[in-house]
Amino acid sequence: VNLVHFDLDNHNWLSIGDRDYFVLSTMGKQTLLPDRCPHRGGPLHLGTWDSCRNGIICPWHQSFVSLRMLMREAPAAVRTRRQLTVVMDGDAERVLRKRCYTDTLGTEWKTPSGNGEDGGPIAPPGERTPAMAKYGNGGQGGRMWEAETSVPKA
Amino acid sequence: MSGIVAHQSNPPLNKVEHIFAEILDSYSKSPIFSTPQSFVMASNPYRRPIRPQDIKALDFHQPLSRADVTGPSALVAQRILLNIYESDLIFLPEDNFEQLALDFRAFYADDLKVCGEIIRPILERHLFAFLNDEVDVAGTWTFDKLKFFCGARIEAVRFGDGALIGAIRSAKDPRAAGRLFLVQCAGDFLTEASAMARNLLGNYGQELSELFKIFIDEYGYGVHAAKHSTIFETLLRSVGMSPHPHYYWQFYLASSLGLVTYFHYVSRNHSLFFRYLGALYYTEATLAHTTAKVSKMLREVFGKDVDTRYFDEHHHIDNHHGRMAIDRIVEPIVKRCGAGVIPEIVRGFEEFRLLQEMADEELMAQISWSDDLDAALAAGRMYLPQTDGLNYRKYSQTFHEGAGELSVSHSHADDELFVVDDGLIELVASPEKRVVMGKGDAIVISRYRLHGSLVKSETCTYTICPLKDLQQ
Repeated sequence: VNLVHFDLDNHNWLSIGDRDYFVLSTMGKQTLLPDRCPHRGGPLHLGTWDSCRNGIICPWHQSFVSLRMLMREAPAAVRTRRQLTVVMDGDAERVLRKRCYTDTLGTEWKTPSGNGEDGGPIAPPGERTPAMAKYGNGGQGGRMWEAETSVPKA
Repeated sequence: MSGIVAHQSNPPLNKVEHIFAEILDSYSKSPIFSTPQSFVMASNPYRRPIRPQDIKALDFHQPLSRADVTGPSALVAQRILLNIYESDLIFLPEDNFEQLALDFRAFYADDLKVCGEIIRPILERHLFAFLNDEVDVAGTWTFDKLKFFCGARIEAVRFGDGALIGAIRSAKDPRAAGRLFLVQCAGDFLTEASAMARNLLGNYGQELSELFKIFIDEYGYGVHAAKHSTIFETLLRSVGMSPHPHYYWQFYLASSLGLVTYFHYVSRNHSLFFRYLGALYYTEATLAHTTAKVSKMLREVFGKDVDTRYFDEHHHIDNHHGRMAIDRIVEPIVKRCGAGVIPEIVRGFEEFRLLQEMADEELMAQISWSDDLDAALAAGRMYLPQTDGLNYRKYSQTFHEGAGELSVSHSHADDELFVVDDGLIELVASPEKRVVMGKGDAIVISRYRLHGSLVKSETCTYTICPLKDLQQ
């Protein structure tokens, strides 16, 4: 068992081995969720929040995934104020990414600044970026944050 | 109808709020909560002033934010809530019972009890709902993950810098700071493990018996001299303090009271039992580390005559209790009830860690302010020229009080300028830190800092004005 600590003001993405997790902000709370639609693996962080049904609409095939369902796949984590501590199994490589998308789904899609180091300007709709190459574009436009932090072992 | 409407400037009350306001009014009018003649409550465990005159201006229906849980509303609500919880406990004075029999009956009266039970959930929400925003526990947990997460937190305390201890050591008057620290402890330690006792009835198998073993350690196995509260009384006497329960009632800070009421809160409502277990584990496991540092600090501050057995005993026994809590209670309960209870256990652990952190921060702030009242007086003098201005006349409030009139300790939501217009008044910032002020003296009372006052002349007139209004 290992711990990963991260500051929600600076990071909203965590990769553990080959699994990716993103931070969803809803109703004032931040939750780390798997970024993979159970249907065909679509990037849920690019989806749209459905507040009526309390879940995410995947950008690939508009499948609805309930928050409750995603929480079952969420890593054990404790958020205290703006600090998130993830309790994970094993020694898989862990990578934190700086804030790479807006936590609140379905609204605007942008990067906070554009200073190069933090990811640069918003990708125009339709432009493929390295991250999109991984996920496909899903018609949303957008760009993954490139800056990464390898996480030392706790 | 007087007393039903909470405050002129507040919006109209709905039906539930009306009922709450009426019952709160009835509760707070009990004579045992009224203004006493002294800042200390000599051997009378039933007299617990709550400043009923302030209550109508407060809105207990709104949950406090993280920033306000050490503010004036929290202080009043914490005092009331502790009184409600502690009416389940037995207190008898050391002597003089016949003179206190009326207070005894008033404290345990059925009508007061019923009123307290009705207002209790709203006060609990007011004080503790902020934790819903501060702490989230999510995801799929196993017992191993719980143990690892909590273990890392405990290690952080073990190797932490002990900021509070450092603040006491480095105070201008470390002994006064040390005693103020012991005052905060007294609210809890003199009734130690009383909330734990709420979890000892019923039937949950072997784990109940394991909790009982921790409980009997706290209670000295029936040997009164070994009971933890008894050895804490000895410690208080050794540094010249009173060992009577709640003698220093007026000097408890809101967040220190919160450490006591939280345990009652999660123990009184048994649906929060798993949170109780987490909080229990945090406190038992971390006390083993912090108590050794406290013992060392007390010996440095008070010299060789201080009796540190209370903290030495906890340094020893809480090593066992931390292990017993996790291995003999938490783990078997997870096995019995399933991993679904783990998030609640972790939440209780983390919530209490946060409350402890906040209590340390507030005490450091109070030590810092009360330790240097000269600086506060100097700051007050700086503002005196502005007391001729329009803002001062517009926003200030003047009080006329007679000899011996006491203002029960309280705090303000803003920095305040306090100016004596006539007479003599003593401003009290801790049991030992006080200053007598005369005509023309002024002091800045910082936001949220606990203080009270006592008129020392035949009459006294003083004026207070929020600095933010004065500086507009």
